[in-house]
Amino acid sequence: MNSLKIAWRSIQHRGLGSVLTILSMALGVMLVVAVLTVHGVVSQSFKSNSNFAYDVIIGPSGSSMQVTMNTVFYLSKPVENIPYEYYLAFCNSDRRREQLKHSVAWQTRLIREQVARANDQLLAASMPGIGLFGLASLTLQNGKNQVEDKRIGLNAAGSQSALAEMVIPINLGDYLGRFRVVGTSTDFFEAMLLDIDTGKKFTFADGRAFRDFDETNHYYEAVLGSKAAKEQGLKVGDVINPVHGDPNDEGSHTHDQGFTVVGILDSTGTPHDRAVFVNMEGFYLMDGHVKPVNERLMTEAAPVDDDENEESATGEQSKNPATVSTATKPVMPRLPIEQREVTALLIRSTNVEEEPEEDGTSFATIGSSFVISGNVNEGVLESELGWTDYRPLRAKTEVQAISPVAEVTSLFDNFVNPIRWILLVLTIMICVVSAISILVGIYSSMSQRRHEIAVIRALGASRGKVMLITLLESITLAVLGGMIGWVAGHTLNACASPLIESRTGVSIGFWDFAPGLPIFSYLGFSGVSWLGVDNLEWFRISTELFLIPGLILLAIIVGVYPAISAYRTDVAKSLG
Amino acid sequence: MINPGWRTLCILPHRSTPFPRSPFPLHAMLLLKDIKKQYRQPNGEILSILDVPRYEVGDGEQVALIGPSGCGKTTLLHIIAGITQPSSGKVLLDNIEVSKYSESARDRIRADKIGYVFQTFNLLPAFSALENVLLGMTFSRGKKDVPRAQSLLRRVGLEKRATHKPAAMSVGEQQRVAVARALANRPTLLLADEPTANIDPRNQQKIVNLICDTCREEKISLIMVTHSMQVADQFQRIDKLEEVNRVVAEALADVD
Repeated sequence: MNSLKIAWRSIQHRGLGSVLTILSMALGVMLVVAVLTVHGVVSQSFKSNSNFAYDVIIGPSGSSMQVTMNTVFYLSKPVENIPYEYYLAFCNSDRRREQLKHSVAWQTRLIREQVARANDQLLAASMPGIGLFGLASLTLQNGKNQVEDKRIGLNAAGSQSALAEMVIPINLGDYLGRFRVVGTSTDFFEAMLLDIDTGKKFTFADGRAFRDFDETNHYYEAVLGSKAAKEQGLKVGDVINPVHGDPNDEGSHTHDQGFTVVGILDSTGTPHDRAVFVNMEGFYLMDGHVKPVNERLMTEAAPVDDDENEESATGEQSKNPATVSTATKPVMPRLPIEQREVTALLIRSTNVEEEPEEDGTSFATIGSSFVISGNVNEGVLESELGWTDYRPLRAKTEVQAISPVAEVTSLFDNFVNPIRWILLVLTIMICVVSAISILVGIYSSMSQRRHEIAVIRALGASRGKVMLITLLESITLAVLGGMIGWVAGHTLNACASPLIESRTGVSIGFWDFAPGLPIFSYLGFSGVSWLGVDNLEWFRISTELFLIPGLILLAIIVGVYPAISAYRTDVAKSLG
Repeated sequence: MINPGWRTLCILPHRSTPFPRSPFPLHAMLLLKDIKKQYRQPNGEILSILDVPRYEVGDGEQVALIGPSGCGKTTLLHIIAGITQPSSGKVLLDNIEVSKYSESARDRIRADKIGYVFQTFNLLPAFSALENVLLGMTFSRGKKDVPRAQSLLRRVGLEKRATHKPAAMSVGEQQRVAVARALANRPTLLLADEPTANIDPRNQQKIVNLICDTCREEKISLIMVTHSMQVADQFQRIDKLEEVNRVVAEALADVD
């Protein structure tokens, strides 16, 4: 019979006392494991999501953290919107020209041209003699148009486009259940990368990405993140009706306009899993999303066919687009860009190093990261839509350029890490208290134990042996408590997963461990030259694995005193 | 004077090798020479407990040791077992001078060569009957021998109670388990300290018979301390401690 079995029998014999001691230790370890795992997994998730395919967010001025939480993690209260001009400012020439053709001013110009052309044709038909005059008029009109095109920069790229390799507009404010509805462009699925290092893109578990315009669904197509689809029980072909505003607020209402689910994304382990992506063209057409402009001018400007799309124009603008059924009614015209806003822009910067512009554009690039030094200047607004009479009616809106990586780092340095340390200290103190309970438990039974020790000594056990048995008892109690606590901690995480996910956006399962530490790097080993391994940074040991040796050390520390007491037991006296 | 324990520390043999025997073999299994045990009282006075000029027990011999309470019977057994060091004198067990060794060495000698049956049985309550018997051989050089433990339990008539804890057994059964435990390490000397004191008369004889018969069969020397003349009369040799221990003899002489 070995020493461990003798120690185990002693633990068994002290039934309730041992159970309570183990539970006490388990409680402490459970909390340590929960704190380590939740913090570790959440921070790792945040940091991995910081490996964004974009390095700048243009959003409304105010809390940069809130903008980051909204646009990166789809969390926190919705923020204000920013003028649509900022999107135009970062568009390349093709995209910008396409956008400008959706403006009221452009539509009005088309109407004027058609009217002029019709008049010329009418004049030429009735008075053939002045056909030359008509030709001259048309030529003059073309000349005027070219001047006008140049003035508005129809073929020019956005004023800030040189800085941006990719720009994706994001529109927030609607919900589907607890999930955020994200109105965005088709670029989201084409240009957005899940991991900039590997170039990984979104993949679809079912269906496809939404189209800019679809013959059947028009602008009303949606793509669901894996989590959103699963929790809402949705599949491709279903129709969803987003809620305007936070569903918990009184002012919220469900949009009449439905979006057809055309795709469900594969799980990415990122906040995108919790998002509902809809075509922003459809998003803009929903009631409550139209921004006010100069109404007099707007009524003069009736949209006409867009040559670049095959959609048919109705010739009149419905007051309530939501009443239009996509299956039976004609296609709604796109919302003019003058009536649009965006919540934020996700920008992947170019690798060109630039000094901050004198006009106030306040970011420059170093490598691939923007250095943010202030707010983006209002001058952008002038350069993009300054030419149109149909200026949006809005208060002066300031925007800011945000580095999401810096924000996430700041969030952790200033808020999450200090709280983690406080929690860790508290939970470690619980473990120490639990360890002391082991000491109390063993020591309080010492009077009874001394007699047993004396008997064991009389049977031939040495002082060292009884000391070892007592230490093993302490260690066994601690390790058992630790193992139960470990399982309980992970079970707690799994049970609290929905709550954690709703607060942080990160899903934690039973088998999610606290992230590892680069142990060799900490010890000063950068590599093993004779093995040809240059970098040992990849070799990491989960902090949870340090728990058991830590507990054994703690148990030895608290077990030493009873063990010494056992060692010193006077056999002759204790045998009685 | 150099502590014998320290003196012998450097020549302590490996656990698997036998302790060196005396170059002058004796016929006795146990020999006590000039054993004295004294305690210093709180007032500084020396209190003598034992003064045994010579005491022998032969190989396989069975001895009943009787004497009044407080005459040092248990102390004498503790000295023989190496639990207590004598103040002076020598203890030779199986030709090994036990008293010159360190405490840990004496622990090993005790584990290998001595069986001990206590008055209060001293079974460990957390262990089953079989495990208690196995404990008797756990600390000796021999390996754990479950068949022997089961055979011993069979011999004491408790093979069906092997898995029972002491609390679930009668007093007589507990003492039988204690006897089996004391025999588990195949001792050369069995020390029984009033093994029948807490047992009803009907079971007393069974226990005595069990101990004596087993020791006879396994050729184990036996010293049984008892108050009962009825028990002592069954032994060929009866030693009165007042004759063995000069301290008691002098005390009795003073009383007279």
